[in-house]
Amino acid sequence: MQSVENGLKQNSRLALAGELTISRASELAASIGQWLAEQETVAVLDLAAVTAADVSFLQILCAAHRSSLREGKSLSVVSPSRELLRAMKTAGFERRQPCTQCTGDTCLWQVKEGL
Amino acid sequence: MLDQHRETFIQEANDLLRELEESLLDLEEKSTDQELIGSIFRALHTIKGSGSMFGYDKLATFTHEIETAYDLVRSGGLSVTRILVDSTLSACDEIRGMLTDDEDRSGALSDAQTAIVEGFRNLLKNTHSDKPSAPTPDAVVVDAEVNSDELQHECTYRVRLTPSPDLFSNGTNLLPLFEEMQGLGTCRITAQVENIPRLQELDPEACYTFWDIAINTDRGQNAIRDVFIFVEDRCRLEISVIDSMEREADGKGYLKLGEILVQRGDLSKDNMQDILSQQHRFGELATEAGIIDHGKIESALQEQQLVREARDKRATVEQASTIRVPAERLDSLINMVGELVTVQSRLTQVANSSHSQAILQVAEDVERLTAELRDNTMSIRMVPIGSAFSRLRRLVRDLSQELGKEIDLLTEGAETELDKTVIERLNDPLVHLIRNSVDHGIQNPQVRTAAGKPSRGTIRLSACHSGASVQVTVSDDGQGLDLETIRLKAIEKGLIAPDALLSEREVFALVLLPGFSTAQKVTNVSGRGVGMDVVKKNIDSLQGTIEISSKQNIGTTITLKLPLTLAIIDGLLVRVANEFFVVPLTSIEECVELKLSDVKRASGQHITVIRGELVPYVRLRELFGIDEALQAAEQIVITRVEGNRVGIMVDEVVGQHQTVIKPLGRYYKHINEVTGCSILGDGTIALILDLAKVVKSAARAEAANYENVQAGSV
Repeated sequence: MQSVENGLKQNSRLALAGELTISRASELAASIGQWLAEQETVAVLDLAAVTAADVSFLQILCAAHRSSLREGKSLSVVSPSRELLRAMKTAGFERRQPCTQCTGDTCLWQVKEGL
Repeated sequence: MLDQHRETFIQEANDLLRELEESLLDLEEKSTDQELIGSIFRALHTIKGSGSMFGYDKLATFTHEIETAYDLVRSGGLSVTRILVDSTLSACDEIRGMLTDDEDRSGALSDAQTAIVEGFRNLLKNTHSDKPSAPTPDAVVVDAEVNSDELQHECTYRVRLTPSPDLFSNGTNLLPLFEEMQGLGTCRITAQVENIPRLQELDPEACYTFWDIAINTDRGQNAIRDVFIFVEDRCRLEISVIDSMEREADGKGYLKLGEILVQRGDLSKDNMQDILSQQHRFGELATEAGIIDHGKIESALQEQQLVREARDKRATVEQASTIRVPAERLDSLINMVGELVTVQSRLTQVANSSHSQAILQVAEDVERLTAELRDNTMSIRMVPIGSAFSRLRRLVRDLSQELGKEIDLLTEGAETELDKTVIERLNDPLVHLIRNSVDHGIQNPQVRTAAGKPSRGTIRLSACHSGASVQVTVSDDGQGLDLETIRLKAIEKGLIAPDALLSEREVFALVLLPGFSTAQKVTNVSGRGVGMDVVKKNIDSLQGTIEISSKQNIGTTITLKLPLTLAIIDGLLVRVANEFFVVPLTSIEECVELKLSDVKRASGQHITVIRGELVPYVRLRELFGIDEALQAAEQIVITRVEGNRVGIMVDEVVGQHQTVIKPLGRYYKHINEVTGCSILGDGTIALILDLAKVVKSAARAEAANYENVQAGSV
């Protein structure tokens, strides 16, 4: 298992890897919070190397996104791994409409047709 | 009365056995497919149940033993093995035997049957010693019956799962539970994330999410509860039935979006009324007004969709229901429709000459209705060819096992529809062809490997529509036909002259002659030289054609071309003097005019030149002995008969004519040149020509004539 410290912090990009589950929830929430605070406008989470995720991590993502919206930053997720997408689907986090707190098409959970 | 029910039972049991065999053969390839195992179990269960209802006690006892084994397979206590499939297949044969044996319905099991039962018991015994905890067969049977009862009660449930915040603290992961839910039936899960705060306020180890789940399942409410049994003390679980067959039967449409939300307590009734008073789409309005979170709307929409889908599915299942009708009733229906078509065309003729607008109108309506009625009636007789294919899978499996060969049977186009009688009469030829391929075509695995082929042979059976006919091909990747061997054999049997020059096609056609077999040894399977000529005869009687192509060491392909139906024919109506004939449209290439001067130029020979090509022709006038003066110009219908262009000379081509074929009756059985007749609008009879026979008998007459002339001139 890789820790967040091993993840690449490059410009506004943070890459997370390994099993992102409840056992690492506190640690992940703290590091993402800190990283997000350091970003000025654009923040990109690279989740290509996620090998497992559970509801706790999906909640963290959602919370981080809500924080970024409040602070006027743009947080987006790039190349989510198959495992992460599966967790999203299984836990019913996928949305056809953005959630009420999101504006425009920034919602993390919105499934775009054809993707 | 009882006999009639019993007959229905036997028919259904035979159908079930056929499905059962199909599933067993599939199971051999997909040994863990739960759906297959389930369908096998259900088939056995039904045979057993209805068997004992109709007094087939022996059959019921016997089937019970096998069912027991499959129940264990279903619950994972017994794995699918070759032995299991083999014994079940032989059990199917025994059951089939017991169905026909009407005398001895409740006697003792025969030795063979007892042996099979013992075999199954041994299989069970082994698993019991391995797994002492496996449920006893009897207990499982009871359980299974409860299950099958519940099957009829498929319902759509609404589930709201609200975990307490500390759910995760003991390491609970909900994802596997959701996956389990998906396994129960069609399921839509929506996470409600509205309570998730911003990251700064988030307790990463608390659960803020709750879920709305809509699920359509036949497993009952308890099965859903069971999924969440381990988290029950840390969650609130609300389950309610929102739709079922009964509710649908009450004629209620499903709830509107707003109604769902109110019913779930997500929205107050007042709020709903407020929103509804504006003329906009409810979902948009509700969220715009900030009264409700999108997630809730989303899950309500999902719920609606799920109910709709479940209802649609039930509707299609209901539509797919069928009734059984004895074939004779269908035949008499077809016959009556045939008569109706005849009467209708008479009506049209009368109407045309009456000049009464009112009658014309009625005649036109009758014509349209009759045509629709005819097409509909014909389509009732159409059956997918797959029913004939499915028997062959078993045949290939058993034969290849017997001969120590490894053969796959691939089928294509099983959904292709053909007239019921055509399919029935196609069975024997197909069995012969498949036997030939298995026995002579595909070599032993060793020989195949040595020849650089995969050790498993393949037989491909396919069917497709081509115009008004259906093409069925049987091809194998075996050793192919040896031209030289066939030629030598034909010479040996005196079928051809030693110096005869034959094309490849002609040599292959020799195989179809009676008594021709090149097999080195006669085996159980085939090789008595009765196969191919039987095939040829059967296909001929179906008005079909057969063609063989083969490449040595690559394989053999046999193509059968069959008419869609034997009840109706698309033909060209022609006239000679006052007689009418129908020429099958499938073999017609073109129509040309022939002048008397052309006939004279050919100095009495029945040959004409069409665009530089010599075409022999048959004069129907002579063949059918119609005495009447020749006309100045006649017409020739050019047809292709067994690969050759042959003209049929007639006085006039009347036009295209689709007609119901009527048999001629047994007094005319000896007349080969005619396959049946059709009755025209004015009551005149038109004979339907069998072109191959017409050409053959014309050739014979010509030859006799030629000999007479020779004899006379000496």
